[in-house]
Amino acid sequence: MMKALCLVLFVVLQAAAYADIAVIVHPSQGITISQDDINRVFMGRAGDIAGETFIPINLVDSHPAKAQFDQNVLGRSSSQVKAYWSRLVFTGKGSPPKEVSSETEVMALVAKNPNIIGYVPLDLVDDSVRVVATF
Amino acid sequence: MSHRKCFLFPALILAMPVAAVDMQYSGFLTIGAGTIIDSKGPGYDYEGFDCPCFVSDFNTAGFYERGEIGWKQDSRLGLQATARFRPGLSLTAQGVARGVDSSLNLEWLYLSYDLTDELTLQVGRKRIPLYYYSDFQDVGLAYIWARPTQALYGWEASNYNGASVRYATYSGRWEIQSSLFAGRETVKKSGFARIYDEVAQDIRWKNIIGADLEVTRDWFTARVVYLQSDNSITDKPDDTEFLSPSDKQQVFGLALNADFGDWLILSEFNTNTRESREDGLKVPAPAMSVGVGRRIGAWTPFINYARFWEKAKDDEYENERFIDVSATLRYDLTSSSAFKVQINRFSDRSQFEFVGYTTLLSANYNLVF
Repeated sequence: MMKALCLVLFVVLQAAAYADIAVIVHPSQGITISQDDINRVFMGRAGDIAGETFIPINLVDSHPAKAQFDQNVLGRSSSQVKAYWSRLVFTGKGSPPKEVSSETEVMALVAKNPNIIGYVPLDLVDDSVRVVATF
Repeated sequence: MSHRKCFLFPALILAMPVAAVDMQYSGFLTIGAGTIIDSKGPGYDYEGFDCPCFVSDFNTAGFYERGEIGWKQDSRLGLQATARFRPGLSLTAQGVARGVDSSLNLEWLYLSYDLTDELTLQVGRKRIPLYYYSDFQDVGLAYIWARPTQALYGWEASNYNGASVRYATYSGRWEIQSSLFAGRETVKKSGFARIYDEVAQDIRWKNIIGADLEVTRDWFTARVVYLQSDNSITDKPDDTEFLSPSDKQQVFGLALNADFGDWLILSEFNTNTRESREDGLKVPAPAMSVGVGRRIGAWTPFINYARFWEKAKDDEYENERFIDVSATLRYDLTSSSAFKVQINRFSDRSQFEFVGYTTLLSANYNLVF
């Protein structure tokens, strides 16, 4: 049973790793969001996009979509992103986005709050969120 | 600003009701070892150290001596706790336990308050943001080398008690950060002073005032810094008081980094000048470091040239001068851990018998959590 579950999980995670990454916001958000905006918000350099507050939600390091997001959207490896945040965290200059462990949690948080921005594999997106960019 | 005033604020905050406090914990670890694999000339005693020897940390008098495999010099554990009372108001404490001494050192304890979205006031105990890596030199994961070169990163004081104001904004694709800081620091039984004197001395940096500006755009980062302070030292065993008048210290620094994702070039150019108010002796100490590396998957080979070169013109003064060339190989084990191997060739060109010529092999494991 456990083995089968692990296998299913493995297949799902593998599939997720190859799907495009969709950056998502609340369906009521109509604004245009560029890759630079996403980069700034997820790297802690800005708390807003076009004057509107956005709180980024990250996936944990062990989630395959995290490495893909770091590389494709932020343009750095997860190691480089961690090194960047380590400098800020231990010198009092910033703290990284809150992390959740699954894409369903990201979807639920984004669907509930108009000021949250997150990302999930594109094939998991439904009507509860709006896709602002894919990578 | 006195020590007492600095710590009054955190004390008041601690007395506040704790119901709404959001706590965050994090930390970093470096476990390292090193050994001198080559040295020039016969052995000799330098201020009680078995030399030729390699100074791994001027601040804490971290030395690798001949014929030993040392693990204490580069090993340390840091723990940080941040209490967030409400958005924009927090208290952070960071303690670091080092292999070179047996106590837990409180490196950071500060109250942070966001005055606006772009301005942050911090009051308490902090690291002096002297050069690019100064305020995070304990966090091995955050940089490429086994340790930042001591040609630049070796001074009496690493911390200060005081206040800083930081401004951070962006304009187009430019990220801009600037800070002003002021305070003072007294170090009992200074590790730095121990390197030059077998008798333990205390040191003091008073009236520290400094400012820095860092700009980043895509692959390019530049940082300039200025700091001035009034430095003095005791003259034990004859005199336990700080010598007066103090020396005037002025520091200018420039860092230029280019990070193209694969290739990276890291450079720094600084001058520290100390002038005696008693006899007018002026010791300018220019220092520089230039390195280049390339990320190949999880591997990053990196080579670096660094130089510290005192230029006092007084005939009586013996200038300290050295060149530190290193080759590093970093391997990212996971996104939050890395292994590094480094070889340093240290050439002592001082005008007095200092630590000599050595080649040091070191390796360390770095983690953040």
